[in-house]
Amino acid sequence: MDFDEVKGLLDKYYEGTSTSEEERVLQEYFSNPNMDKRLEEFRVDFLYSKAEKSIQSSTNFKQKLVEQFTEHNPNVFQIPKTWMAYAAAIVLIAVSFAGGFFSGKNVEGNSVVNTKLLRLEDEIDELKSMYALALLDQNLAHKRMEAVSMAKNLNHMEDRILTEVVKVLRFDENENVRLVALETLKSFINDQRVYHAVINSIPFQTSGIVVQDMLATPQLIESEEARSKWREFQKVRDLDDYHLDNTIDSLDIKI
Amino acid sequence: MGYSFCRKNREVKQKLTQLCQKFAIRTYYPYRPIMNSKEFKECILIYTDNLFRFSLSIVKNVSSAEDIVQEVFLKLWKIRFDLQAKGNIKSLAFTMTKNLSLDHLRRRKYFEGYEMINTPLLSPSLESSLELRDQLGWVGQIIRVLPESQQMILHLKNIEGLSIKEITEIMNMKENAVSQQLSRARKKIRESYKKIEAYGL
Repeated sequence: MDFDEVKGLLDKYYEGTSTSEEERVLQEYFSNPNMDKRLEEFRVDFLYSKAEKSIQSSTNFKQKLVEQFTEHNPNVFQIPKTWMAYAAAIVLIAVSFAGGFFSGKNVEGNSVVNTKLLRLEDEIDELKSMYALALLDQNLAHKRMEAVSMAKNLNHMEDRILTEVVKVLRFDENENVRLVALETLKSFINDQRVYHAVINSIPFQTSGIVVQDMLATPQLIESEEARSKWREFQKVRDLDDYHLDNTIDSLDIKI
Repeated sequence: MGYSFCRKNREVKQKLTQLCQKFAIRTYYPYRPIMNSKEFKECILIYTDNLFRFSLSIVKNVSSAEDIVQEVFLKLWKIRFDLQAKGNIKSLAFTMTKNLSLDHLRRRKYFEGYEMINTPLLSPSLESSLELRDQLGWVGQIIRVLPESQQMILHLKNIEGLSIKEITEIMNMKENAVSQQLSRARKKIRESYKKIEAYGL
């Protein structure tokens, strides 16, 4: 290599734009004792990096690493996981078939279980109603609402629950609670007791909205009794036909 | 609150995907080729000396550097299922070494002292070996005074022979910045060396 060529490479080197290949060439050039004497001042830089390059970690350390990162006992036979999964599936299927086969003989036991279940449902109903009644004593409106709406989930309405809900519908101070009570009663409207209880609670109402909601069920709007009660209610409260007409319009029923 | 949480999550996800792209870590798993110990040796353990030297240039202590290199390999071993055999594992390993070494410097409670290895650089064929040893010592002292990032870039370029692109990945800088820092460091060494030669230490 001649002087100018090396000089060009050196310029590149000090600008930081030289490639690794060019730097390797420079390093080889400067470690050669036959180099140009004019460039001797630059020799130290390259010899320094060459010297640093010769640093190596100890052989002990390398051996330790190699031992650490080898997997032990790769040749030991292992049952593949998929086989285990298949075996488990087969055992499960066999067990379930056997269970079905043996339990089929025990039909008498099933009826006992059914009656027990029915009894359990009754017990749950009773618990629910007790809880609802306990909640009804609350001062807070939303608690009462919860209690009344809980009665909706019962399988059949008991007398004591019915009286409580009707009491709420007639005398509760909060209009929203009354509406909720009405809703629960509506879901049992096919029961004659409930039907009459709702109709008889019309005169107790203070606001038209609850009555309007009451009449919005087809069973009630079609009955003469309910409509006569409504007219009485109107006379007492000195209201016009507005609410009734509205509900009739919304229901598309001709009277 | 929900919105900001979502945005934060998205940012984290973006960062993760960027990192994964940078170091060629697979983010999806159509299948899972396992890097066995042989491949691990071929792809990663060959960099033992390079990583050791790099760590040593930062922490200046042999035993700590060995610990750091071992930790880097342990971490790579743990994620070996996600590494591609032909991905840029080299940059990843160097980055991990850099971070762990800097962490070590930050966490250590006392100064461990310089414990450099004496290099067998000077072959007996060179006549002025004693003088040369002195000169190389000066260069080492000059480098030790440079800013830390310049030291690292200089080491990676001069001694490990990495390309500028790889250094940008490791140092998380732009290419222009890297070459600028590199030229600054090299010029600084030249100037300081000239001064020492003229006036003594």
